[in-house]
Amino acid sequence: MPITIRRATVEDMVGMQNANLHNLPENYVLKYYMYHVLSWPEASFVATTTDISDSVGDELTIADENGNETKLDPNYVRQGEKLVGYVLAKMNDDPDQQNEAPNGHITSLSVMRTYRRMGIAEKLMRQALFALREVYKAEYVSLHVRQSNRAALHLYRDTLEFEVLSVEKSYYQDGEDAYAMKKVLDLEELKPSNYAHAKGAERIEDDFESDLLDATV
Amino acid sequence: MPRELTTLDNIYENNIGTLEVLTNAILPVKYPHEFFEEFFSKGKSGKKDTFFGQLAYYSEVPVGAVKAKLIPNKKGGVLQQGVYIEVLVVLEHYRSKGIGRTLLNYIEKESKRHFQHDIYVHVACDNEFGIEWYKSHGFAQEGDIIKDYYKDTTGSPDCLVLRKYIA
Amino acid sequence: MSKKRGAKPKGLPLFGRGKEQTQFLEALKLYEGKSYKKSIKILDGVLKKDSHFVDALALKGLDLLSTGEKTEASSLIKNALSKIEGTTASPICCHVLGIYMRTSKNYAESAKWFHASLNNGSNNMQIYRDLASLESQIGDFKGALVSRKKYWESFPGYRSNWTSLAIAQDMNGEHQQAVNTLTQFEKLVEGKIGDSELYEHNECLLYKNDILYRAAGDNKGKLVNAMSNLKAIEPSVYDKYDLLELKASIHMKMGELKEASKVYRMLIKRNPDNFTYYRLLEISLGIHGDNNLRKTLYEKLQKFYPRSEPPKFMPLTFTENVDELETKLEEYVRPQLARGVPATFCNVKPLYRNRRSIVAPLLEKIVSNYFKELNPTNDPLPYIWTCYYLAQHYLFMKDFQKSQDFIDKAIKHTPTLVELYIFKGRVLKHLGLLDEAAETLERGRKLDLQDRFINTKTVKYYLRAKNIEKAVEIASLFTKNDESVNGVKDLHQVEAAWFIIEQAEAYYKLYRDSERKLKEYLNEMSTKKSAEKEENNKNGTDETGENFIRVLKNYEWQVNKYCGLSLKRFYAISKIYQQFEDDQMDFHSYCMRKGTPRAYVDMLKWGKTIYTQPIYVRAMKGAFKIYNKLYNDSKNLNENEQIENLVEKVMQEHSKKSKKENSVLNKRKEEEKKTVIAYPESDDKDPYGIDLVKSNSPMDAFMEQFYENYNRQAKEQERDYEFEFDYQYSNGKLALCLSALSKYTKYGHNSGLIGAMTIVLLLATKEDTKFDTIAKKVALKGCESIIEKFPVHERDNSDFDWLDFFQKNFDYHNLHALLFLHQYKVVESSRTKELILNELANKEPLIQNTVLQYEI
Repeated sequence: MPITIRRATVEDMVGMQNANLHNLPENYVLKYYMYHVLSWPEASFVATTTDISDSVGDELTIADENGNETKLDPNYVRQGEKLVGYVLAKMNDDPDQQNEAPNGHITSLSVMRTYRRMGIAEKLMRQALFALREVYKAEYVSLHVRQSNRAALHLYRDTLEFEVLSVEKSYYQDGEDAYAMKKVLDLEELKPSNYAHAKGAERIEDDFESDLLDATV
Repeated sequence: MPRELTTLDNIYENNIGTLEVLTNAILPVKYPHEFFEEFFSKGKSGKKDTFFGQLAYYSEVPVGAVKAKLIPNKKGGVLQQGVYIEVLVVLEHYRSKGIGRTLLNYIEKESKRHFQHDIYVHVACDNEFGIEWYKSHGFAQEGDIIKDYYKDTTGSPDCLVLRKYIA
Repeated sequence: MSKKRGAKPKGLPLFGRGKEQTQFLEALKLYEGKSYKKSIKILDGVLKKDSHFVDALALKGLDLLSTGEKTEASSLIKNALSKIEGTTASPICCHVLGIYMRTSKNYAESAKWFHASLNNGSNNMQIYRDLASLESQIGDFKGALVSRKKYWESFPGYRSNWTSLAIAQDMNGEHQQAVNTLTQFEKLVEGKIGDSELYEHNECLLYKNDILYRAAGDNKGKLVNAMSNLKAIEPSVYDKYDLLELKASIHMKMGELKEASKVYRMLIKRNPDNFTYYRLLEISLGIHGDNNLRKTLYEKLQKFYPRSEPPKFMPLTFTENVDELETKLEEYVRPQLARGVPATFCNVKPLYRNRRSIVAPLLEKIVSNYFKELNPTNDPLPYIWTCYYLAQHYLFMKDFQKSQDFIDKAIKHTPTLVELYIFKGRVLKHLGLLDEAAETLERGRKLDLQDRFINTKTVKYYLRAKNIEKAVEIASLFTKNDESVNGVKDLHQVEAAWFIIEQAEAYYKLYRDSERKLKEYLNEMSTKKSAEKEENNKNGTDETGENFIRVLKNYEWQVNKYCGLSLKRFYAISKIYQQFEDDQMDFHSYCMRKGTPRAYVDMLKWGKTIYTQPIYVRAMKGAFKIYNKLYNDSKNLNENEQIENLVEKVMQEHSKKSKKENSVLNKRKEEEKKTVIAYPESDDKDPYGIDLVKSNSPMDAFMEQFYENYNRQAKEQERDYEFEFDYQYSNGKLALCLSALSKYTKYGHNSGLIGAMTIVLLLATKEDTKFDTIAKKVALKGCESIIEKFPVHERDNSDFDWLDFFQKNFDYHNLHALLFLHQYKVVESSRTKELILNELANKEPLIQNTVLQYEI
């Protein structure tokens, strides 16, 4: 199936860690994911496939005869639910910055390469930003992005309208510079329904009252 | 916000493989790996030469590239002072979309920035498309055909020199 | 540790120990101030005078552990424990032992000693908090409730203690008490909640409502109560998703479907990309069986949410009219191809699977037609992504040639797209061309060295092609290698299970390969040997012999090395999962302070499934294969003995040469160690896993390291009963084999395998087998009841043809069942092998190769 976006749970952590190890150079032990999900349970989101038997053909085992080979793939959170992307978010809990207004931080965002160009990263981010604001009252959110990461830069700067604060020299282990980026969060503006339609298109919204089953209206 | 269909970006150490694949897929000449690596390594003289290079992306897919070398003066070398385009390629099916023009613009801009007025390029004699293209972009033939210029090629070993003067 | 610990030790006389006791307390203070060395110094003095002073022994053990000297620490603790009868020691000593055990991650023991400390008179109430964490960690929720309560009674001024108590009550099924606890606290703080506590308050309110909902079941009155609570807390709740989900669930349970549907519409508006909400909306609207109404529904929703997948996709799953379906599929697929969505095929793959006969030909037609419309120059990107789609389509249809043609077309058109190489590699993999597949991935990888996704895929492909060296080299481009020659250590450090398990499996294959080579070589040599001997005698030299030794030693080492490393890596997975379990420890107190009870309860639930997760199970099965082989080899001495005798003989003949070769080999081992070591050298005395292989009781080792944890957590319906059968068979537990077989008949769906298992079980009950007599009787009875008219009376008839019986009565076109019979040598191997080869003829090359090389 195409992709479901939903909130990350403790059950997703191993899958998130696995996706991270597949896609990104910055990796963390599982406990770091636990720390996120157990401190800010509403802040992180995942993208998963949703079909029951979505794995035929990709596994080497001869167990396919047995019908249970899906279980052996580390990408699978549950049977038929393959994790293809996640955003790991937190609130700034640095004791040295206690006087700052509440603010969030995007620790890590990743979408499997084969699932790109579907807007998954944008959808994950929109949910996370909305949650940081709505649940945790974050006034702004910050993140770092590799200077050479064209796709991420485009997403943050152009699509999500983050501003570049500064360039942090040799931020990454391998010496690459990072853009430090920030976005001020406004609850009304962040509502996911604002982005349900293409930009500039006519916005027809559900009022929750109209009859969904009446074809004549 | 829609992105520009054609964009240029630097060549990084991490994606010279893309430059290599593009070059060797498009040109009949086989360039060795060192030819691409010299972007980031020191030349024979021990000094690092100055190269201008870009990858061209069509809707985020790498489809073209340019690699040019700055020849600062005439001292000793066979090449004229100026900027020398070593490779300027666009995949066959992405031509006539202005991508080559964009790459050439980049080289012209860099040439100006380095106070150079002459851009040179060698084109294989049987590369009619290339010769036409350069001519339509302000290049003119300079001197005679050079015999046996290309060693490792499946096409013609002879080449023409074309030059463009920029103010 | 707190300083409040006045109680005198029970049962131990303080006579004549006054001074030592004072010194001990001083040492304790030093320990608490982290001056371990100084503490040890004092304790040494104390112990010199009184080597039986267990308090001092225990504390010294803890000091040593804190300085990292684990081995010495452990021997001191052992010494101390040997001097204690049961748990009769001073409360301080018990507390010290408890801390020692906790630091050593021996949580059950730790809880025991914390308990003892309290029982023996400690009035340090902090112990209850630590104890509650330990009890929660080991799943003793009864105990945790007692401890939480005690602690809460002592320190009722903190919200965290109320939350802790409520959770403990909830965990024990005391829902009403949990609700009361939370309500009581709500009343206490009413009107006094500061801004910084609002979030925690919201979590606790929702937690309470969640308990109310769970406890209500289908009881209307209780549901009404839960709903009114939900409405009351609504203004204070920040987590609107959960609020709405709870609301909808209650409406649904109360049969208030219209109200429920409204709430699902609100949820969809918040997140129009969650399929679950759409499914629940359908149910709440009562239209699940009416495809016309569903069609109307999704047409409307698509207008509300044009950028979301579910309203577009759902109709594809139920539209029956072929023309209409064709139009809808086209509308779904074409824009994605035009936009260049790599996952277009993945998106519709479930339709291929669930509605194959209609959807596959339709999509083939739609996409092929679209492809014909495309011009490679005018529409370059749609062109390649459509090629990519068709390549995937034909691979799914197992038309490898067409698949390859399309992917090659795409690569020729645009050779700079990483995805194309990944897919081409996959086609080659299915064709069994593992080396070529890896090389193809490598070409893709070189396009963009910064992309870890292609790096990882390439590593995986090299591992599958058994090219471990290359795989490690590539993987190491993304690891922190610090002082190591490669990234193996770092990959263990960051718990990169995907790599470790693939490497384990690659090592396993190399182990089997080298074992085969060794055997072949020995056979070849033993036939040659006599002839050569004469030759050598004539010449007076024995070069062949020397060469023989070298080659032999090398092969032998390779067999041991690969076997050991494979097992070592499977162990590493087990270790990682144990770490996951231990990782929970800190959160038993952290979440209470942080105020996230719902997430914490989720964690506890997750904690009970750790050892049933895919990778763990895969590692367990991998390790079992090795252990089982080692076990069978050790029984199967005949063949091995012959080999060993031969080797022994040659070694003796050339003892000098043999020694020389040993030293050459040792040098190489030392050198190679750097490339395989997975942990810091100080922690790993067995980097090759040789000690693991040498286990005297492989089945016990397997039990302890893998099976026990799995067995504790695996639910009945998720177990793999074929594996259970194999395991219990090797373990000698025939009655448990029977139970695995009967469970398999309940949950499994492979009749061939049931037949095969029953035959194997029956033959195991023969008189001359190793199994327990009573178990045999039980198993025999079982065989009769599992399959009707099963010819148990033929058990001892050596002329009865079981394979023939199997073929006539069961689905023998079943590769799996045939392999099972083959593995248990029910009949002559050559006969099962022949049937297997027949079946393999229809399989794809990848499966053919795997079975031929490693299964038969």
